Amino acid sequence: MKKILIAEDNADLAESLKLALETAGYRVEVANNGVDAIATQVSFAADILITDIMMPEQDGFETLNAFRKEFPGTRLVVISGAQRFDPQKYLRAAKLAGADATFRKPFAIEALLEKLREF
Amino acid sequence: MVGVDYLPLMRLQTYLGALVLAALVPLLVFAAIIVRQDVLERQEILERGMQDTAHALSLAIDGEVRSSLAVLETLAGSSFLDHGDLKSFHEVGTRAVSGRKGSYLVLFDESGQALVNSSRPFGSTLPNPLAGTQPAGSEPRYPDAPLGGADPLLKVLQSGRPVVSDLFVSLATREPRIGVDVPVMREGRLKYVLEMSIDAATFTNLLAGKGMASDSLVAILDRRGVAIVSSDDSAARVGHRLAGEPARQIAASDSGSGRVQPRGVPVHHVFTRSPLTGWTTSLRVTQASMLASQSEALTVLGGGALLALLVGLGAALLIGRRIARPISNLAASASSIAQGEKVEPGPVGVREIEDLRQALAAAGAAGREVTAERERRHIAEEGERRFREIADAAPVLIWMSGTDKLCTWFNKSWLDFVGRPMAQELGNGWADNVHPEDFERCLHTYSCAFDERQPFSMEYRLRRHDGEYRWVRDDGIARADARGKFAGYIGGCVDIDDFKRSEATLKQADRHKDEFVAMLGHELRNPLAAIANAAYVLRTADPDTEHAAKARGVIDRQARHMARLIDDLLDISRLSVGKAELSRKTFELGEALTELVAVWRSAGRLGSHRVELNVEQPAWVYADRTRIEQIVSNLLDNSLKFTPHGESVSVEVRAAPGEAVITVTDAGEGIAPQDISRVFQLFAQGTQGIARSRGGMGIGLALVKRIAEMHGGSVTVESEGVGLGTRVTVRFPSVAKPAQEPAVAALRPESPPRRVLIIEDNDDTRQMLRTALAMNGHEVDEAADGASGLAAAASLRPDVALVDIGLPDIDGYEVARRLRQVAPDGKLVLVAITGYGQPADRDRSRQAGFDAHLTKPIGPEHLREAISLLRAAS
Repeated sequence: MKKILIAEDNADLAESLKLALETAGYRVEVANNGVDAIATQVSFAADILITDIMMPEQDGFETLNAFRKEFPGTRLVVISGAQRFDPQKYLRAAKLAGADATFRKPFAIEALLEKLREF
Repeated sequence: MVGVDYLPLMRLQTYLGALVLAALVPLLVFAAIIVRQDVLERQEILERGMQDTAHALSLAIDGEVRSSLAVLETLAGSSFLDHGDLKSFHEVGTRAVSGRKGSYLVLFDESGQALVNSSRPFGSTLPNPLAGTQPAGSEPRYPDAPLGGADPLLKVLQSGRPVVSDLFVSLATREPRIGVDVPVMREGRLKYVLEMSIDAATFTNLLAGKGMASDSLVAILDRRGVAIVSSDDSAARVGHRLAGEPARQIAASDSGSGRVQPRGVPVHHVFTRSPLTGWTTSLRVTQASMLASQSEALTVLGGGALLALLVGLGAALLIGRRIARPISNLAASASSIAQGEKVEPGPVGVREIEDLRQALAAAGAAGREVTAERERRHIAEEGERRFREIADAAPVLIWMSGTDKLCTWFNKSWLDFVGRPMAQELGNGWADNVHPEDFERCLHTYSCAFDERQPFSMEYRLRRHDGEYRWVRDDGIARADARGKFAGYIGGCVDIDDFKRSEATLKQADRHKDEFVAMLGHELRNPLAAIANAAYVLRTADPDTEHAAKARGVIDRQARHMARLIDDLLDISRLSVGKAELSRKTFELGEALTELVAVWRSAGRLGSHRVELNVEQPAWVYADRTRIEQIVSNLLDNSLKFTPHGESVSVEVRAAPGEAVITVTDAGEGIAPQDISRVFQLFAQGTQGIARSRGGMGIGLALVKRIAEMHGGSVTVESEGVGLGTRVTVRFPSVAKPAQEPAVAALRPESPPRRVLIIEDNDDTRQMLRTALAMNGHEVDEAADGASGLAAAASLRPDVALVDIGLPDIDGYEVARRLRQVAPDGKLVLVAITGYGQPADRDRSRQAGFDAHLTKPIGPEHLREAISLLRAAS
């Protein structure tokens, strides 16, 4: 059973994603921001990180970089509704920053699950 | 030019005609003199010729007579006569005159007895002319000649000298004859007289071959003036005496010439008398025939002169016209030029006139130029005057500069704007009014454009008369004088200060809008993502599991959140365009907020925050309670969002003089001082950073302010700074506590349980309503369409029916009407549920029998209203 860590500041979104992934058979933990995510990962050692971009304390890019450095084996998935003028910009930037996959909110959970199965 | 004025005004042709005459007349006169001289000469020559002819004739006759005399003298000396041998003498004599036709010899003795006649045979009886008497009468053909020629014989007998007789008519032949008698002297005494009788016609032959003009009249007259020979049958016939003026002339002189005018015809008369015979040769030529040759010359001369005159005058006329026409044209052109018209006369054939034409054209052009220049100057001055009038009246600040870049004029608007007199502004004086920070830039722009003669446009701050610097836009352009020569610049300034301010405001609003759109996306995507995830859980997980329950919770919360977002959006939209209505009633703020906080708390919306409500005094307001609750909800929402979990948020209600005051205070992130002024702007949020995004669309405070203002209230926001919390104070005008509390004010959060029927085809809405009502302890039944709803109502007899208007089979209005028919007693409370909330929609539902009208999405507030209706129904 693969472990997934969700870094998302919107509680309901994080909660719903956690429920959905658990229903699909994953073990899931939620962190409210990037800083929490790194702290949680130390003990949880998730195989996959699903992170938002716009978060308080530490944004998604910082989190991505930290994971690539601290936890190189972790697969990285970015979800974002970020759309400050160009919705695709952050996702492209995230790709460049090393994300294995990107999803724009709202996304079909099936698509995310399919991607996760590839990992 | 002085001195010509007195000249008579005549046409050019006249002058030229006079010129021709002046040239021709002396010539003609001279020619006439020559001709006259010639005529005279010719006449003289003719006269002389006539005289010569007359002499020649006279000499010829003399010759004939001498010849006869010579024959007679010779015969007179004949020896036959010495001894009277008359027979031999007859022979000799006959031989001697045989060559002379018409002449014969007669020999008389001293008694006059004819002895021998050469025309008769010798021995014939011959008469004695002296015997007997002189026969009387005369031959009628020759009336003036005497019959018989005895006269000469007699004369010779008397004088003893030869005699040439005058004309006489022969008795024998009755023809005119001449006798030439000579004495034959022997021994000193006259022995015989020898006579030669000559036919007068003999002399006629002499006239022939003398080269006489055909019209010349020639006559040989004897001593008595009787014509012996004549070519003139009318005036001087043979045997007739010449009469009239010629006869007198001849009688008066031996020879001469003169003019006579017999029968009115001028005749030239030349005559000469022979000394030998005493006969006169008369030659007459008519003047006309004499002048015949001259008249030809005169005709030639006269015709030539006339022709020359005509040709000359004609030529003068033509040439005159040739000269006069261009001159007339020029005159016309000159008139036109005088009237300022531009005239280009065509080329002319006369050099002087061509010169004159060119001079005129040049003068005309110069004149036009002068006129045009004067007109231009006039127009320019007039234009300048009018321009200044208009410019002074224009609401634009207008200036002008000269070619030296210095300003020469400002209009009244400029002077009024800066509040300084023209003298202070002229030259570079205007620069005093330009903001020091803008001056260098302006001068540079102006100078550069000026040197290039290019238009320019610049903005700068110009000091107004009240000292305030106002942004103006100054547009300048090169100007030209009336001749099109560069004359400096002209420019106009417009006060764009207000425009610049509103532009900045607009730009900011636009930026806020863009930010809002971005934020809206974010705010909508998050709940949608959450709902999508929860929906997946509900699809795949067992509904009874904890996961499913949680998922339903997520959906419930996020749907509500989205509904509120949309509400706010629509609200602010309505408020922005002033469409929103206030449904005012009098209520007490403290109680209303107490209830609100209780609902929030019960719905779990306060989270882990500590929210303290502090009602210091009851504060009564006349307001739209729903809107007031919206204000507090917004403020509370903001405070909760920006305040860390576990920290406290306080809501305070108090009454100030004339005011009801609500204060919401948090210990949250606070607001940076530079952002305080922007918080009420639509779509504005605090300085943004990715990590600081908290959601929220910047609608909240703008909405709060708008609603407060609609109630005549105000909102103030205070913050000590970032991280130091925020305090928002809302003030409303307060009203006195009503004498009797309205029923609405008496409601309690809890109401007695009622039987409620929900007729709604949308499952989610139906479910939500059911849950909400059930939570309050009501007994709830459902129907998904109108037909089953009516059936349920008939069987269940509910106290309240919530009816959706947009049902699939029978619409809500119809359902209401039928329900009212079933339960006409008014006990049933009917509530419409619809997406349409306009007054017209409310009216329609009321007419259908509804007691209340709820607009989707239906929030807690609405449900509470519905619940209060349930209570009212009881």
